[in-house]
Amino acid sequence: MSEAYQGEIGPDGDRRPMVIAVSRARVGGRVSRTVIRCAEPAPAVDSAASGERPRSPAAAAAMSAATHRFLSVLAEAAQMDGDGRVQPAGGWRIGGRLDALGMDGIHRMRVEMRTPQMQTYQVTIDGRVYEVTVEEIRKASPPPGAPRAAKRPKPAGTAAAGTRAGERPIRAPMPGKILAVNAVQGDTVTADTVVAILEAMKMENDILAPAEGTVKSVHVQPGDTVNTGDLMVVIE
Amino acid sequence: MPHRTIEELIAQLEAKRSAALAGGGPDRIQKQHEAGKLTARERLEKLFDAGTFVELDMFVEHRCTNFDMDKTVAPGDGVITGFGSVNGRPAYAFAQDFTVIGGSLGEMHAKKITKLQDLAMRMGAPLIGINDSGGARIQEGVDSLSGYGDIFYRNTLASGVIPQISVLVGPSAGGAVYSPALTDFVFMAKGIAKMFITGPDVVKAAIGEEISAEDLGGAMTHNQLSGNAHFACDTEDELFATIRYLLSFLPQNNLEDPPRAAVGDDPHRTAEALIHLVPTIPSKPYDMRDLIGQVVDNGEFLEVHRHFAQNIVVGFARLNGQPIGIVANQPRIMAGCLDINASDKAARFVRFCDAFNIPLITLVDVPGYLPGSAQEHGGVIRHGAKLLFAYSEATVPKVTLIIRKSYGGAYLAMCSRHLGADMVIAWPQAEIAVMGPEGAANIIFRKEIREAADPEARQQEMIDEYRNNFANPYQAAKRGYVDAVINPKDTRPTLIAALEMAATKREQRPRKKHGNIPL
Repeated sequence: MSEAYQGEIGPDGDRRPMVIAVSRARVGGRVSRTVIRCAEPAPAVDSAASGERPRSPAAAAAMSAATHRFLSVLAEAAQMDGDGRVQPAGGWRIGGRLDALGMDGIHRMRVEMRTPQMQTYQVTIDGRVYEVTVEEIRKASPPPGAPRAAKRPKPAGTAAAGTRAGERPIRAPMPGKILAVNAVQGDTVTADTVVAILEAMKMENDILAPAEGTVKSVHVQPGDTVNTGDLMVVIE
Repeated sequence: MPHRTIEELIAQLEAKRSAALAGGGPDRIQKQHEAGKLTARERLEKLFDAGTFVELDMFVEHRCTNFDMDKTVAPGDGVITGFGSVNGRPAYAFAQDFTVIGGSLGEMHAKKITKLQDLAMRMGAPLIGINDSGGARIQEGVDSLSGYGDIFYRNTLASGVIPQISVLVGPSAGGAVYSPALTDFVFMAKGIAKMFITGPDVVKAAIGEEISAEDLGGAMTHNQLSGNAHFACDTEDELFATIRYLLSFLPQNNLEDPPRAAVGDDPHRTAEALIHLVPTIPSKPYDMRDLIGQVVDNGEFLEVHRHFAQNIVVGFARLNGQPIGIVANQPRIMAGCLDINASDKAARFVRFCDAFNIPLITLVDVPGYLPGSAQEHGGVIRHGAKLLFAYSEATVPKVTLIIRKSYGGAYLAMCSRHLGADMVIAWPQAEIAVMGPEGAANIIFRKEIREAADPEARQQEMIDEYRNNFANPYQAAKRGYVDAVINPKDTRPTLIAALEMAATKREQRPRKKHGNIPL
């Protein structure tokens, strides 16, 4: 199960738009494993372009820097409250709606969710363990007492694909490498059209479109590594 | 007062019949058509052979007086039940009439259905339920619930006795959905059929989730995501035609054999195309259905549960006229691995075939079970065990063909000799091993590889060595775990010979009430 949380990462006054992918595996009991992936949204792309995302080294570097700062803030925030919870310093929060996800150069953090209600996470980064309180602001009911998310950064180009009605996201069924992408934004597909080929389990696996429709957005390209649940293509 | 003449009485009967046949009236019938749906009677006409349908209980009326219900006239109480012939063989069907109080289920509506179920069980013929209903008739209160309960009970008693098919050509919500779930095959019409325990309104009110009815419980949702439905049809015509085709493979009841039909395909036909169908490069996939098409009679294969767990393929076909059930890995999807959904799908199909004396042909090209925490935490251990249980339990003829890979626990699960296969055949390129050459070489020759001057080259050497020595069918053939290694082109005649041999199979099992399959 995978969701995208949009947003903003950063202390007050220095928020950067971030695109955060959260995928959870529910385990019996109170602990569930959550993986949070953060990345900068792709720079605005001309939607008439062929669906390839330009990846400038500068953008990648900037993203790394931002994520790195996020991680280092977590490391610095060593204040423990009475319950042994570490609050990230300086008003850092991850919040908002879920939008687009899965880009290159992502730092993967393993997050154990302690108590689903409180959404306190235990974050392991490179072997060190931190506890982080994460606010998830849902459309219907904002968490009590929390300031509302400042603004929703306008989703950029092909990176913004929420799962709205009528949209069918195609997600990776297993971790692997994209060998080929046959879908281009605007293509018509039928059920069983091969939209991508994923190399996994030492096999070239066909990724099929689930239904008739048009390719709304393509989020991967040959050479990308994907994890289970990563968004690859959106059909509508 | 003068006696009425027989002519008057017959006229009265005709008037009552006309009223019943009119259902909810021309306006509602028109609405039904405008929604892209057939009426209940039209559906029954599509299902049964022309002119063979005999209706029962046309004049049943409800007796509810709550909420002014006594003023409501409901012809047939919203459901049409009866029997007829499908492909010349008896079958029973009920069709809920959406034009009559929304097809809602009340006490007498349910009684009509349960009577039909009892009849079908006693006479031993398939039962088809056509669901198009607003749900329980709230005015009748607990009587509606009781009606559903009686239906579910009989679905269960009939399970494994007669084939039961559920058709969804309209809404089905709340408890009503359990009847289809208890039956053997569920057909859904795209765009028209909906099935969910709680509808979108209640979902929104209760947990704030916004989702359309089609996304929550439409035909493709249940065919692809939940696996609750086995068939998704574009039109009702296609739906009923598929049911008729499906029934042609099935016996009338569990005491009969599936009907052989001379279809004219030579049992000795060899297929040169099979020789090159499977790529020699192990990472290249192929579509298992192409292989099936080369082997079975006239290439005709009715795939069941096509959209769910596409990494395994199940369905019906014939070999030399004999209906068979096929279970086959699909290498182009998820490497053909077994996982939770594939195990569920295959195990249920195996048990259906076993219940109805349909021989099982298993086609194997499986690298293992899908690894990962999602599978492990989801219970792949107990779900995967279902397939082992189902094959072991089955006493129908079981013939297995190992095509390419067959590793580890998945080798066992795909109807290996050890689970009671009557004949196991392999192709020359079969790799039957505990694990794939790469994994095995890394473990067995770990020290050698590490200490080699060029570890990568040595690793490749060891992998090739393992592949040549172990990843082949002959290790298993040496032990008799594989009965024969054949030229791929001879697959069809070999399978047919195996089925002929196994036709008189009788297998004893210890007496027990029933096993405890992991669920």
